[in-house]
Amino acid sequence: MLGRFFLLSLLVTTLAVADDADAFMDGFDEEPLSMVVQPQKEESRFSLSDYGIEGKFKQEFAYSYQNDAPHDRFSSLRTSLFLEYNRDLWKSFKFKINGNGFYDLSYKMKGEEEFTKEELNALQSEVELFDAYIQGSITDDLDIKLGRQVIVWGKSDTIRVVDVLNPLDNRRPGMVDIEDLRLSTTMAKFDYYYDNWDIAPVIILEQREDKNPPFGGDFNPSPVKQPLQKKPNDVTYALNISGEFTGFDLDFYYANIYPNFEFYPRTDVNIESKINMYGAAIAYVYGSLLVKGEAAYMQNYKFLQTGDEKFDRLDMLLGFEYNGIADTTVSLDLANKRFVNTNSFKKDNYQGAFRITSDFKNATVHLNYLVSAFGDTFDGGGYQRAWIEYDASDSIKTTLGVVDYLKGNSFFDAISDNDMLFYDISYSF
Amino acid sequence: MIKKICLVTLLGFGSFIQANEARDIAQKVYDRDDGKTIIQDMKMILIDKNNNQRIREIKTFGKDFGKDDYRIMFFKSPADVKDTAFLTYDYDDASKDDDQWLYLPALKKVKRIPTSDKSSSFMGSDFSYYDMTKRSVDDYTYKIMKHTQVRGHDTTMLESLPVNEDVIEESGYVKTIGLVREDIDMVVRSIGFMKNGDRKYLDVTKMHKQEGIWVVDEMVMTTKQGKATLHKTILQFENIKVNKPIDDDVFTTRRLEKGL
Repeated sequence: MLGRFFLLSLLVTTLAVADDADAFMDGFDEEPLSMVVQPQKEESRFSLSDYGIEGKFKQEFAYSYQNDAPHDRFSSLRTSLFLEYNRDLWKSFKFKINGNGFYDLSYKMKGEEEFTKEELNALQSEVELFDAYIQGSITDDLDIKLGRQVIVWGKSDTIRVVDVLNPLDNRRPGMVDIEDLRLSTTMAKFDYYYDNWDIAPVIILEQREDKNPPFGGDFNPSPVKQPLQKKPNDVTYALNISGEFTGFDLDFYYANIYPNFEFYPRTDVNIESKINMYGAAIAYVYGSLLVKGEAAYMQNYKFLQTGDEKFDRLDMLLGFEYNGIADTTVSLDLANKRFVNTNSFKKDNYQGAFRITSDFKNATVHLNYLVSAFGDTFDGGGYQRAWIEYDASDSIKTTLGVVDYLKGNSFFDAISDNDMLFYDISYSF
Repeated sequence: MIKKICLVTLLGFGSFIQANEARDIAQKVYDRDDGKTIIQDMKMILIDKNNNQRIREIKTFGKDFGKDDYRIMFFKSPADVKDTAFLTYDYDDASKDDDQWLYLPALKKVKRIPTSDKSSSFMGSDFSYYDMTKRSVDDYTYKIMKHTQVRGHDTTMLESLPVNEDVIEESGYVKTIGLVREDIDMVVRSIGFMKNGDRKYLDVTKMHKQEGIWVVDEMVMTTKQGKATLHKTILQFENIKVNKPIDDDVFTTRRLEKGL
C-alpha cells in the first residue's frame, strides 16, 4: 500500500514538473524573427560612410552658477562638427584624417566687447586638425605610423605619469575627459615585433604647446598675462619597449623631449628646455582586479623663476581597476610627484583620482562619477564631476552632468566659483 | 519493510542511472566538435520593449590553441564603437585568469582589462559574458525532464542545477532548462532562471552544417519578467568560415590597434 502510494506520488510529481516545463516553453516566440526586425535602410540611399566619410554634429550647453559677469549663466553654447575620412591604400596601408570645428554663440549673445581678445581667440571659434596619418606594415615584423597622431603611454586612464608625448587641451579643466584631452602631434612611430616584445622608437617632428586657459577666461585667475613660451622647433626622440605576458604587461620608456606645461601642481615649467624621462609601467591582472603601476624619473626640469638651475623629479603611481560588479567599473589611481634635489619649493605633490562607471537599461544609460583631488590628504583642490549619458539611438546621444570645483589651493580657490551644469546632444553619421 | 527497501533502492538506482545519462548528454554537448577555427560577421540587433532597435556589426575570429581558445572581435558599427576591438585568451586551466585586451579608439591605446563579472551584459545585449562562454560540465547536476520536439527534431529536456552558490554568483542563474537536439548534441533552446526572478529564453532559430560542423546562423535571447518581454537580442551570423587557416598574428594586440 505504502509502495503504491509512493509510486503514485512520484508519477504526480513527474507530471507536475513536465507541466511546469511546458508552461515555461510557452515563453518562446513562435513568429518568424523577420516580423520583429525593422527593414534595413534602402541600399540605394546616399550615405557619406560609403565614401569613407564619417562625422559627428554636437551641440553643447554649459550653465555656470557664478554671478561674475561676463562668465555668468550660459558660459558655453558651442556647436561643433567633427569629420573623419578613412581610406585603405596599397597592401595593408591605411590613411586617416580627422578634424573638428566649433563656434560658441554665447560670446556673441553676451557681447564680444565684454571678453578679452585672448579668450575670443581661444574659445569663440576654432578649426583643428586632429589625426592625419598613414599606417601600415613595411615587413611582417615592422609597422610604421607617420603623421599627426596621439601616442598614449602608461596604464592609468586618469593621471599622467609616463604619458608625456602629446600636449594637452587644458582650456576647460574638469570639463574635458580623457578622450579629448590630448592634442595630436606630427610624429613617426615604428613598431618592431619580436616574440612577446614590441620595440617602438618615435621621432617627434613637431613641437606643439598645450592649449591653456586664455587670459581673461574664467579658468585663468591671473590678473596679468603669463609670459609667452615657445618650444624650439627641432626634432626630439622617444622609445617604448613593451612586453605582453600571461597575466601582466610590462613597459619601459625613454624620452628626450620638451616638457608640457603642467597645469598643476606647477604652472611655471620652462618648456623651452629639454628633459630626459626614464619610465616603466606594469599592468597585472588578478581575477576581476587590474593593478597598475607607473614610475618615471624626469631629469633637467627648469623653471621660469629659478634660471638655469635644473631639477629632477620622481613620479610614482599605483592604480586599481575592478570589474567584479555587474556592468560596473571602479578605478582608483594614486600618484606622488617628488622633486628629489631641491629645497626651493614643495618636494611632494600628491594626486588621487576615483572613477566609477555603471551601465543600465541594456547599456543605453551610463552613470559616471569622477573625483580628482590634489594635496597630501587630497584637500589641496580639485574637482568632482557626475554625469549621465543616454543613448537615444545608435546615432543620437545626450549627456547631462555637473562639475563641482573643490577649493584647497590658490588656483582652485580662484576658479571654485565656476561650478556648472552641462548638457550636450550629438548626432553621429 | 522489505518491500519498502526494494522500492527505495529501485528508485535510488533509477535516479542514479538517469543522472548519469543526463550528465553524459551534458558532456556530449560540451565535447561537440565546433571547429578549430571560425571567422564570421556578427550582427547584433538589440530590441527594447517599445521595439526600438539598435544594431551592432562585429567581425570575429576564433582559434583553438590546443586546449586554449583565442578570440578577437572588431566592431564595425555604429559610429561610436567603430574601430573598438577586443582580444581574449581563454585558458582551459581554471586556475589561470583569462588574458583580455581592449582597443578603444577614443583612448587611442590598447588596454589590458580584468575579467568582468560574468553576469555583466555583453555589449548591452541580453547575452551575458557567461552566456558567451562554454559552461563547465562539473559546475552543474543534471536531470532529464522529458523528451520532446523542437521544430520537428527530437530533443531531450535537461534541467541543470548549479552545484553551489559560487556558480550561481558567477553565472547569475539559479537554474537552467536546456533542450538538446538528440541527433547533433546541440542546445537549440534554453531557459535561464535568473537570481532576480527574470527568465532568459535562448532560441537557436537557424543553423547549418559546414565542413561537417553545425554552426549557428541566427539565435535570439529574450529577457522576460513573467510573460512580459523586457528586452530582446538577435544575433545573426554571416560569411561563416569554419576550419579555415588563420594566422596566429591575428590574435595579437598589434592587430587590435591596426584593426581589420
